[in-house]
Amino acid sequence: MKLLNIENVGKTFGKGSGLITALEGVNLSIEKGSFTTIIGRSGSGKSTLLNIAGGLLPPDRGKVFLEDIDLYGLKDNALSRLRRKRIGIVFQAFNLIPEFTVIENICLPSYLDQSKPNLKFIDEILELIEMSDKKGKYPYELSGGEQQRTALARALSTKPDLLLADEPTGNLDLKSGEQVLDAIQYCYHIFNQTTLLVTHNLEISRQSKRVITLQDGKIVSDSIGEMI
Amino acid sequence: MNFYNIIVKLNLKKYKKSYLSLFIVIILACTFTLSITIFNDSLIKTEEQQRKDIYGSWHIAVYNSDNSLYKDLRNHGTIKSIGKMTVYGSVLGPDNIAAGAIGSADDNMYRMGLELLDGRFPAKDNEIAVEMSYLSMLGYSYELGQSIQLKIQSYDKEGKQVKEIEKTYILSGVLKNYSTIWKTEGNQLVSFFVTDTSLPVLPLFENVFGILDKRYMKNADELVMLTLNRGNFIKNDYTYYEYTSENKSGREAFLSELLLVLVVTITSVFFIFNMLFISLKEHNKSFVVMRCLGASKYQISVLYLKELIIVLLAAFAAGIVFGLLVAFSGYNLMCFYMEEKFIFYIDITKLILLISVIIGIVFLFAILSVVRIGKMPLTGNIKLQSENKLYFKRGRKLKPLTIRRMVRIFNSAHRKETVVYFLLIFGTFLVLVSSFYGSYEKYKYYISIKNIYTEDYEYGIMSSYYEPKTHMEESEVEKIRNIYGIDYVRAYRCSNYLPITWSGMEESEYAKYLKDNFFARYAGNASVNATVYGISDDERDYKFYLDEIDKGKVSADEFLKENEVILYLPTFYKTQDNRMISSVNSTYSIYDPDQKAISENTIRIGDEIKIRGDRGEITIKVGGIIDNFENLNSQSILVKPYSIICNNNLYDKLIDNNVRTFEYLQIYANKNANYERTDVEISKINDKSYIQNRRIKKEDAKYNALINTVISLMISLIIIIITILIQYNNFLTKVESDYRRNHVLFLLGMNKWRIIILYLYNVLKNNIIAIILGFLAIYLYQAIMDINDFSNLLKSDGILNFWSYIFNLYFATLPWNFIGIVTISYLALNLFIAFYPLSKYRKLGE
Repeated sequence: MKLLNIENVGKTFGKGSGLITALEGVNLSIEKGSFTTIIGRSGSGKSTLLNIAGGLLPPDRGKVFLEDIDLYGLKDNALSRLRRKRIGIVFQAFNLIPEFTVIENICLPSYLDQSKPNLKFIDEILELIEMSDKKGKYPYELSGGEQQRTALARALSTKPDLLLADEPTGNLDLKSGEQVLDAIQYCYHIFNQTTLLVTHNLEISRQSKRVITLQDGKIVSDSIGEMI
Repeated sequence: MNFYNIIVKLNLKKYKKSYLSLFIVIILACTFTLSITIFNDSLIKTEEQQRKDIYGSWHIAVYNSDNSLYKDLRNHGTIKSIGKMTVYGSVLGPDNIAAGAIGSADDNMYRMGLELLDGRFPAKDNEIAVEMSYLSMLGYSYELGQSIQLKIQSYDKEGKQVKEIEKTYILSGVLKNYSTIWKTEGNQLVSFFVTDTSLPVLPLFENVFGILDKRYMKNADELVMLTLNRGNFIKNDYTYYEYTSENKSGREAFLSELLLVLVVTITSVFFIFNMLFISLKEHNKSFVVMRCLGASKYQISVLYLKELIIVLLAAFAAGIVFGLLVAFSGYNLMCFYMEEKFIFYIDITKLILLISVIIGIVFLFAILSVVRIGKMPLTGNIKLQSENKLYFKRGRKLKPLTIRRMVRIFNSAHRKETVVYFLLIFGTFLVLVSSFYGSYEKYKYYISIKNIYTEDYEYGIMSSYYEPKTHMEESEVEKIRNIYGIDYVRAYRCSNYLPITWSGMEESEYAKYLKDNFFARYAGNASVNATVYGISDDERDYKFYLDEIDKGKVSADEFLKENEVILYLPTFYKTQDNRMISSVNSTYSIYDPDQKAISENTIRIGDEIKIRGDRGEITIKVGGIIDNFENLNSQSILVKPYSIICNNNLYDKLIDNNVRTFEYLQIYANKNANYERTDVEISKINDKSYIQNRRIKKEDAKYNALINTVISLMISLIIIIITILIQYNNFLTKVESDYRRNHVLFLLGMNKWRIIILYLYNVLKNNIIAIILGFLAIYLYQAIMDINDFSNLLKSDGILNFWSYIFNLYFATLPWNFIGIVTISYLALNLFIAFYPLSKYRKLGE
């Protein structure tokens, strides 16, 4: 069953001679429960595609459907609500709120939704990603890998339908990056989380079942294999 | 051009936006500081000069003295300048009664406040300069060169007449009236100025006047010993407030000024510091790059310091010039619209000190910024302490992150920035409210002077609880009515306290309480007493009271026929310390929060009251009752409970007077008459020591009040402009510094409206807390101002009662409607300004 449907999406930035085409005629479907990696060089349009998929950036052309909901047909309030409930995002720059503790950061999406966080489920996630003993810590007390794992827990805390990860290991050293990737994959296996991961790292992509390659804003290949 | 200069030039261009902001901020800070300080100082100087012009510029005087004292004082180290007036005798008026003193004055004396309206002081023996009112009195015009014929009496030292001289002078000068205005305590001043050799008599006495060296002004009392038994020593507290017994005005002026200077300085410094911090943040990236490229910390520090010095010096220079220009323009504007000039005064020392302090602190911040560069690591950012140093609370319980909770956590984590931001709001609010409140108080005072004290002269003190001490015979009152320039005299007869009874008196709680707590003290007996006021048949005297009746009604006919009287029964409030205070006169007692209002309700309209006067007991009928006066003017200043207002004929039935006397007079002058002549005539009345010249005080106060109001308003307007700019910068900084966090919240699904609400909630919260603290600061300031007045209260009743008193007094008597309007306007203004930087949030998510 298709969870995410991207139809003929295009996006440009700038004006006149400075016009840059980030995406052009992108068509993409993501199946529910799948793990997909999007790879490409720097400037190929990966992050733009992910932002559009996550409801963060309206495309200039085309449509994006989450199940059968036209994301950009929704009003701002409705889109925000949908993003809170159904889409979880892990950013390259972690984007933790420095003034909140780990547990507060993780529960934040629920509180923004004015609903009670599922603390049992959150504890489960923390156990999985080996962060249970760091609940009361502040981001500045955590290593890069720990911060990213916290961000992952935050993204998963509301049991979203879709998890998007934009270069989650981009700011991390090799070991931390591996830990984070393992955590993402582990969560995928445990929760059967539909995951769309963007990276420029080929090694990471090899561990993915489906790999989509972007070049100059277009999909140049879309291969399906076995998850490692 | 060397390396540094090239880079500095490039950087000044590159960061021109933020340096321009810093430049503008410093100019505004200087303008703010300079213009407010100059205006305030100018106002003080103008007021002081006004007083000197009216009451003389001398500090001390020794009346009825002699030349030896003059010589001693001249050589005294504390005396800067000394003048003397030699009195030779008196000039006789048309009725052959002594009118004014004739004598000479030295040059120094002429500079102490004797103002010539025309001509010059006498140089020859046949020349004379005269106070204008005395010329009028003698029937002469003010034409110079005319012959003035005078009859002069001179006395020997024992006060017996020695000579009567007739002499003709040529009028050389006309003086502004001063002898009835300066502080004399009954001593005589010269009104007819001649040369020392003009009269063939010995001087009777010298009046010596001294201006003290500024350093010794406060030590004037030390001269008392020197002048003991050598004359009447007087300090000029009419001109110099420092010489009043408590110097409340002086203390108030000093504290107001200190507060203003502190708030101005602190606000300016914080404003500039804010901008410097932003500048350092902007430079951070380029510093990192330069370090990576091999620049040493020293090189980077020198570079940045050079940039800052250029910008700061230029900004301060421009700011000082602009500040002076604004102040000077404001002054010219005032002169253009006001009929009389006021003084533009620059206290150079104070301004230099103030600006130096601001420059010093700013340069200190600049150097600290440079020091931070020195601590920069080889790679990585400068530790922008405020940014990186967050305050984290340990063990915080997990609770729903509502907007309120988020704001609390963010503010707590960014404590320093929050405090700075908060202090800016607090400072601007305090200055704004203080200046507007000051303007309001001055305006209120101006209106009260204009409306309440309508009379030009007043005899006796009607607003006293004590029995009247002044009694003027009817013949003297008639004389006053016939004085030149007098339009109308309202004369009150007033009895001492007279015992009264009525049916139902035993049930009166009001009477019971007043017996022990009021009449025992003021009437000398613990009975219920009334004060009877007799007023004339003139409608101008009685109509006011008929119109003020709250219960019942008395027609003019019934009042004049003595059939009915009006009873004044003010509501009293019982206090914690068992004192009774009226709603009008509540200044000197402690408010009890549960204070009980006590009214007299056993006397009704139509009731009869028995009153024991000199001629025995008579019965009077109550036609009307006044609870409280609605219209406040000279006639409404009755204060005694059970005041009976009746016609003079009824009064005569009560009080046995061989000679009719009047205890209080309200005297009105004709607006077109020469008031200075009237002043002189009034001064001849026998009971003159009890006649207060309200006209001069009123004119003086009115003019001062108007000037003060205008200047205060100008200061307030400048403050509003500065506030808008400070707050705009404040909010912009806030939006920018919170942008990243708010961006993350948006990414996590918080919609833009909620983010805006988060920001506005924070703005509102800080403003409200700042306002509350502002009020507390005002309250504390008032308490300190009045601490001397209530120090006895503090000692006898304890500190809790003292603070409770202050709380009740000021929060009950401050004009809350006015303060409320200013506060709400300030809040609205801040919220309005807060909206402007919100356009940045449109880009959230991009």
